Amino acid sequence: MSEIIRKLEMRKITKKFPGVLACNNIDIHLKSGEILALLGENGAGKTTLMNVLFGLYQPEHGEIFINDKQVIINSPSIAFKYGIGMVHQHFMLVPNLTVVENVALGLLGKRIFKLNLGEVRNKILEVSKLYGLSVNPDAYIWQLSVGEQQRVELIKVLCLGANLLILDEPTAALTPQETDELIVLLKKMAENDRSIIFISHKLNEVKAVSSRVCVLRNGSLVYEGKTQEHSVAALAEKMAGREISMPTLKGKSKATTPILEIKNVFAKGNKGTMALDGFSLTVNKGEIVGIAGVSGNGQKELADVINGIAHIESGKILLHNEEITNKSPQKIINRGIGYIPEDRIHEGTIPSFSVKENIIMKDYNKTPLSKKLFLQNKIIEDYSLELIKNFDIKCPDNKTSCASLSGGNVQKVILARELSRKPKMLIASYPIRGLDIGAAEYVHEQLLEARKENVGILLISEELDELLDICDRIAVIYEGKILDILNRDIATKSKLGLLMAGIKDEEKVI
Amino acid sequence: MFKIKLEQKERVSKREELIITLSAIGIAFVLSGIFIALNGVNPFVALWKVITSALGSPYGISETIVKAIPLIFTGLSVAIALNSKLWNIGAEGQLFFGATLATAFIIYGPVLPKPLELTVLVALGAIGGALWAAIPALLKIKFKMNEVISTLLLNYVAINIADYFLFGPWKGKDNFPYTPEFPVEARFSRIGFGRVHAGLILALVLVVLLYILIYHTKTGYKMRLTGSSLKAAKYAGINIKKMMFMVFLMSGALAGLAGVSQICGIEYKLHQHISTGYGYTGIIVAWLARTNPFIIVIFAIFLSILLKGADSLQIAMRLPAAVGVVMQALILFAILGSELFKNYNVKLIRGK
Ligand SMILES: Nc1ncnc2c1ncn2[C@@H]1O[C@H](COP(=O)(O)OP(=O)(O)OP(=O)(O)O)[C@@H](O)[C@H]1O
Ligand SMILES: [Mg+2]
Repeated sequence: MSEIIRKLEMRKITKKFPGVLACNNIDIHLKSGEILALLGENGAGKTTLMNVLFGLYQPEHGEIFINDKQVIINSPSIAFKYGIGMVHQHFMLVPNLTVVENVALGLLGKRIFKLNLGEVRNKILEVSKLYGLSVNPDAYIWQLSVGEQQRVELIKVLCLGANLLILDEPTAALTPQETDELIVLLKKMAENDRSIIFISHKLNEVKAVSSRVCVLRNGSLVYEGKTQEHSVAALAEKMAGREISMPTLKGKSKATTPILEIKNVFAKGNKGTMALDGFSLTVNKGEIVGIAGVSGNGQKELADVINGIAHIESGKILLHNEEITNKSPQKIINRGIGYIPEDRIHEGTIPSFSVKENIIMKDYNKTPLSKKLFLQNKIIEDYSLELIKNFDIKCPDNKTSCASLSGGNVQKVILARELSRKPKMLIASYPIRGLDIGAAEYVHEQLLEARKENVGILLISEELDELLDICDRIAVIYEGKILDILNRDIATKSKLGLLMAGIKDEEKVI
Repeated sequence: MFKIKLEQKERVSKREELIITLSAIGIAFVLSGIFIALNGVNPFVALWKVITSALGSPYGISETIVKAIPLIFTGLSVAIALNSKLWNIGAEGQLFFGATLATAFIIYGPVLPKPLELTVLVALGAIGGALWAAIPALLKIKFKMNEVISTLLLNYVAINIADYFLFGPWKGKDNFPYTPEFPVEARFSRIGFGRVHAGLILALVLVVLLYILIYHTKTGYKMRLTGSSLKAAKYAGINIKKMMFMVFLMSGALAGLAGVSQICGIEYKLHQHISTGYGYTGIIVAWLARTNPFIIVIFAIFLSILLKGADSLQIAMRLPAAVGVVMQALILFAILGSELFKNYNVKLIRGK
């Protein structure tokens, strides 16, 4: 293994993209044993700065020093050589390969010809046992939930033996328990003299894990200091440049008219087993119903079957008393269901399409955006500009491809599209995952606004704070069924936590 | 020591794209020049010969256009499929099948008044091509069979079907494998410039229509969406299988029109050489033009200059017949290689 990184410095790093100054003269430093949190709004330049450190981008200016020696890192393999490992914000796993094969890919390099998959497999098992990250080494990536994929990414970097770890929003897709475990793990690693750069929008975690914070805004470093000297609210304010208060739901819902009824649904998942196993739930007009649960308990399948993307084996789904069971996605869209999917890069948007083209993805076939056979370009142009303005999507212009937007802004494109269509029912899967706190505030405001306008909302999330903030009722999904539904007045984190673990009757446990 | 470093880039400007394409063609020319020099001919003299033979006289120009017509059709055919990320390597077979079906009508059907006769022939050519493309489309949709292989292999089947008729029931009086000459009712009119025929007008109208289709209609948007991401297309409510099927039919129909345009515009009969690989050259045209219909016209002409030029090199300078094919292959390689420069910034950097 390489020499331990006692001290890392990035000096005066500047990186430009066409039309964007992503990093502007940024200085950061880090000692071994330190956990540095990198904060900033969506598009502030965090990922870009880390990609520079990891050798993916060449900066226009700036130097990197390791242990006081200048180094040139111009590819990830050089970064690995210096002991720098990175877990990316968007996974870089090959879906058609198994976990072992994916990790092996990372190990390639000089060892192409004597790669021993058995050896890699053992290494994975060793690492996963050491850090308590459970994973099936022989599963194909496409079979894994987003949370599980994240775990594979972590294991991959750990297998490579990195001693400076860059984690770009590692907890975005983890369950609360997994997050807690990760934090313990990172602290343990720091005690062993490793250094960690941790990017997250969840300030509670930042508080819990980091010793120092750096805050970026619009590509510049605007603050650097000790974490413990600031409250969560103060950190949020430093990031956004204004005070943030997450909206919460006030007043009881008087909703009694059902809008979406799911009756005893059975559906197969990717792995061929019953992912929805007798699932029933009703959402009323003007009500936000949360689905809490550890990811992989049928949430993805639930969202898919409601939207007609996957088929159900038996059961019924009604919208407004009309059956939509196994109808085509187009019919369901027409009936007025909106969907914010979990996978925003591959499903919710098309990266190579412009913001404008992504915004019309579901309405291109409706007047006034199109007439008869033809798209109405002028109207589409105005419509997209209006949404970009209303939803404050940060992009140089509406012809920018979604691939060059920051994660949070991609999410805003989806939100803008789904909410502007005025749905009757909205399925929102992890809608604030990866969003900065200002944007999350905005999303929640929008959801509450939609609720006021009598939209029924199904909010799938693992973020208990999110669910407790804005849901009228919270249903807990476990192994494809609803285990229990709690009203907002009696729901607490601990009750939900137990239910999520599959424990229904508290008394029985004690 | 220097190292090459690739940095992914998010968007390529139109200008950059043009420069890259032109450089690739330049490189292909240099390599072709070397190949020609190795055959003992001065490459500059050869280049001059290519240009003068293709563009140096009204006759040359008209013949170049005649060759460009089928390339526009096949280029559009491949491009429209490519636009939905489908590979149609089968334009050659669809061309032959379309031509065969149209010929069958001429041989077995009544002779109609010219406008009607030609309408029927054009329709049959398109239908024939579409039918032939429907086979790989169904194989892909029903059995997930890769269309690159199925379309390619079906070329041989289509050509053999044509051969069966040419060597069998449709054999000419003198026992050669070609049909009798078509009646005047079944011939496209000339437009008054050498052998250039009305097929050109049909091709150009289709160029405009396809441009509008791809960039200004709902269907075109759906095609591009499906071509970009199947998952997202499904999410957006698009019936992917229907979409793929439709694109294949359109692609096949366009290739079939190339066949009709050849037999009714130039040859006035069906024989084995109505296409000199236009279906394959169409792939290069489509790649060079990056699926933009207007640019397809430009590159169809460009390639027909090369084809025409290569013919005269063979005759005038005794170069092997392979010169034309070699040049096409070099261009294809250079273009495929240049993809790298479109998707990445390639930098030369200091390194150990
Ligand atoms: N490859 C690229 N090409 C062009 N522009 C880019 C590219 N990558 C990032 N950008 C732009 O640079 C800016 C910084 O993006 P970056 O991804 O670093 O933000 P971030 O701080 O990681 O945001 P988030 O929290 O949303 O992940 C954004 O404006 C983004 O649009
Ligand atoms: Mg980022």
